[in-house]
Amino acid sequence: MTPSREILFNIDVSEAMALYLLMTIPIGLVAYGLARRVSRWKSGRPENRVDQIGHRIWNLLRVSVFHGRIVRRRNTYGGFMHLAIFSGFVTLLIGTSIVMIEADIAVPVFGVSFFHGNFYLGFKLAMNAAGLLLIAGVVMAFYRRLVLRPATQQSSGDDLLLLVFLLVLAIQGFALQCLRLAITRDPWAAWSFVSYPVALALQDVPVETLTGLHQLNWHAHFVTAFLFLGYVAYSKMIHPFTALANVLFRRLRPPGELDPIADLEQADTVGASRLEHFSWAQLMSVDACMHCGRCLEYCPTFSTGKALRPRDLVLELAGLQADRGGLFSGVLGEEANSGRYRWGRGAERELIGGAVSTEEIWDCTTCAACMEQCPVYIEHVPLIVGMRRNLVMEQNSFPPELAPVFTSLERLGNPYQNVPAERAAWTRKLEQPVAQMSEVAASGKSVEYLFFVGCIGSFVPRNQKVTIALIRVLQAAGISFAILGKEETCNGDPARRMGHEYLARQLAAKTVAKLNFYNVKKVVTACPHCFNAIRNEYPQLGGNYEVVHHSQLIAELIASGRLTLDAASSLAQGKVTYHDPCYLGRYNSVYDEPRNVLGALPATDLTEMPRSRNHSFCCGGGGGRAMMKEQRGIRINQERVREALNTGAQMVAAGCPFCMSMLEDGIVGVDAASKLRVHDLAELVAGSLQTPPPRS
Amino acid sequence: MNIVVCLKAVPTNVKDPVPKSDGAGILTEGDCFMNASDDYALEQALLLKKDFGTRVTAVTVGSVRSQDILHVSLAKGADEAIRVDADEFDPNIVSFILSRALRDLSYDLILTGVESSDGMSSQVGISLGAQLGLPYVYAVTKMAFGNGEDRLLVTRELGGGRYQTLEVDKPALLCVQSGIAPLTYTPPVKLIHARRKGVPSRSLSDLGITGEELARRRKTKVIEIKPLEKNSSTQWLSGNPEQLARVIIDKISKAL
Ligand code: SF4
Ligand code: SF4
Repeated sequence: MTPSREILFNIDVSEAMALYLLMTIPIGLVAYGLARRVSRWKSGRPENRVDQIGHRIWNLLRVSVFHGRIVRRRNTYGGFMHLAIFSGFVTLLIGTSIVMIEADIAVPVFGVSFFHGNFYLGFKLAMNAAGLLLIAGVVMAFYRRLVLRPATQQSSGDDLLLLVFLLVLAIQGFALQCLRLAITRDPWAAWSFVSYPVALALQDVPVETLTGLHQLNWHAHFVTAFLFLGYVAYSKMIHPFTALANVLFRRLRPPGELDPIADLEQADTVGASRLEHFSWAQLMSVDACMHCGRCLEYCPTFSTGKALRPRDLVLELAGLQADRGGLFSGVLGEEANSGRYRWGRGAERELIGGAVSTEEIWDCTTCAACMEQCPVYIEHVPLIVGMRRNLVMEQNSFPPELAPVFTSLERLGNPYQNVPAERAAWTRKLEQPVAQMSEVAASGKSVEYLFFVGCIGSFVPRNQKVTIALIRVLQAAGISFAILGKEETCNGDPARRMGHEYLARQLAAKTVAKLNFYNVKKVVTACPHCFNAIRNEYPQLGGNYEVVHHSQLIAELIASGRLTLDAASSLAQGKVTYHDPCYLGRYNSVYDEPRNVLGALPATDLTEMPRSRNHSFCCGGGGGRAMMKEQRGIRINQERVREALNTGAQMVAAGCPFCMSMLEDGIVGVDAASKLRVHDLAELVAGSLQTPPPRS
Repeated sequence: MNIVVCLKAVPTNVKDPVPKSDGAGILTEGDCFMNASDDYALEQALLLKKDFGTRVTAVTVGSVRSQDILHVSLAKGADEAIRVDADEFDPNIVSFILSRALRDLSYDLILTGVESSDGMSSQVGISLGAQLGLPYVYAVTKMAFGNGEDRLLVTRELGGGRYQTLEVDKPALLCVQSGIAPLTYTPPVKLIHARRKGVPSRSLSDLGITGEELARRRKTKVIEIKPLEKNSSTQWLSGNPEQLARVIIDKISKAL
């Protein structure tokens, strides 16, 4: 006899068919919910997200089937939990579909049957395993929500109800099988390894009771599935659709590149003060959020008690959108930042000042820890900068301390109210002069690198030391380079991240014109903000250069033997920890070169902070925050300094002038000046140079 | 009521300025911005506009490089802006051109700053008042409407931390002191719109000014411009006042 079983055993076929028809109701509801969402997304601005299809599809598979962004080294519990629920649920769904295909299509339409033999046995095995996985995942989820309760997760009724649904569905499925095996004495029952022992135990129960129970359970299972499906469109269970859509259509440009405002000169409104001002893809992205809270894990504002919590910002936007789309998903819970949906329509509210507060918008350091963490590629920073753009350029509303910064950038080309003529004043402190681009061009010569010094490295005394140290290193290695000197102006990054796109573009265009005029091919910079802007954003304005951060260049010079370091003269002694700058690490994936440089210093011992590399914790200075007052919560830089102190290191190595000044500030703030120093990589290398640079 | 604000664009030059070959002014490069002192005059005018609905007209004398300060004034809220196309530096001449430009405008009040950051002559305002035969007040720190529509109550700064309050007949010219009103940031979108729209300019011949008229008034010549000589050997002295005094006297006598 071939192994098989009767489909729709013990159930009236015509009743079952009628009930199956009924399922079109929740399916219709899901379709309606999705259609409403899609129509909301379509109200957004155009944006091309359908290029590189092959890459997109591969990425979709990587994230979904292979759980590439879900299971991560730092998110194993949640990752495997999701993998268990996902694989269990999907397998069961496929299994149910197979049974349906056999019963409703293959046999009646084509007269073929495949639900027997080894296939059937394998099916039994797989479905039991899947059910077990699902239950295991759900139990893990309950355990995390109710017992572990991580700070980044708040559980709402919605979260728990969904888990209950899944658990009940799985248990009902097993119960059905146990009862059927017990009634039919299925000779292949052992293949259902979970249900089999229970079925054996039930064999003594009278068959009538079992049949009655089976029927009851079948109907209950149907009702549960019916309700669950209906609930999908109006809960976070919509995420398989929205999240996958967002993964498929995610932004593929470099994360460090903010999109320009295309028609800035002509636009009547700029930035985002209404949902429709975001692009369709951005509107879609907020619907993809399933409140996992991962974006909070390394978020400096969340960790230091500020208004901004990236998850809640996304959820507020999604809630606003749901209200406008007639989806009844409502606003977040009563208390602000509760991170959960509430049933019922939300109040009429503005985007800025209603759904999202201006405090939240200005809190962000644009560190991208949220974007790095988000499993479904939601991009928080462009959302926030979009709203900043509107606040600054249209509403003329921003923290008051920024007005002099903007004015100074406009008039003087630097944020610090310094006279442009003094920009190269630091060169007077050099032992060996440095060439200026204008002189190089006038003499008809050329240099390999333009050293883009940046404002902070030009004007702030502490950072001038770094600039000078880097010059010494470059000179020692015999690199041919020049600076722009007085002709240099701010690259535009701070203005851009603060939402002043207009000013940023003026500054950037000026620099691009200069660089192109001098026919610059390669740029080296000691500031990750200059680095990121010139590397990732200048191509928007026709500026295409090979840009390196000084850590990359120095690492290469050490590796190729052009720099030799001496242990005896070392400034770098003992335990050192390295602080990853967001604009170098997360935005540009430069993690190894700075560490290689530190590794090459003879007398140092690198020790990592718990939060490092792509999980680095921001110094608090990005996104223009270094120029704003930090009024809420504990200070971000002090939080980071405490982390550095805990490693037992005596020194923090920095690769960014803003990080350096934030950290030095933080050290003073926690009164640790005697325990911890901050030095730039260039200073450490310059301090260890074997031979002083030859005097010319 | 109508207010005319006279503004000047000043350069933030990267390169050092040099005198023009004929000495009639200075050559500068780079962008021009609103002279800080005039910015206060504009802000004060706009405050009056907010409170009394006055009409504000911004006027400047300058080359095309200076037109952006008029965009700024429009973006901030001025109703009209006029540039007289002339690249002049001599305060005598600038005030003369302004006086002609203002002939065609109706005004109850003329506001200017107290000085320009590049020329620093502090003359244009006062000289304009004189040429128009208007009462003028220098270094105004506060202004209000006096008894009756045609009087102003004006407070001005005297030396030694004293202030003087005057009653002035309208129309009048006031050179406002820096700090009279808080400076506001120019709304970028409005600035973009103003730049897109542009500002009208009038030539000297439109105003009926001939070359001879200007030449007659040209009484000064720029000969040389030198940067401030900085001595980098700053020394910090310490000790009690007596010791300090001795060190300083010693240094001075050595230097003499
Ligand atoms: S960019 Fe950084 S500060 Fe801003 S929300 Fe994301 S993690 Fe928080
Ligand atoms: S934004 Fe992304 S990381 Fe944050 S809660 Fe939503 S899905 Fe999770």
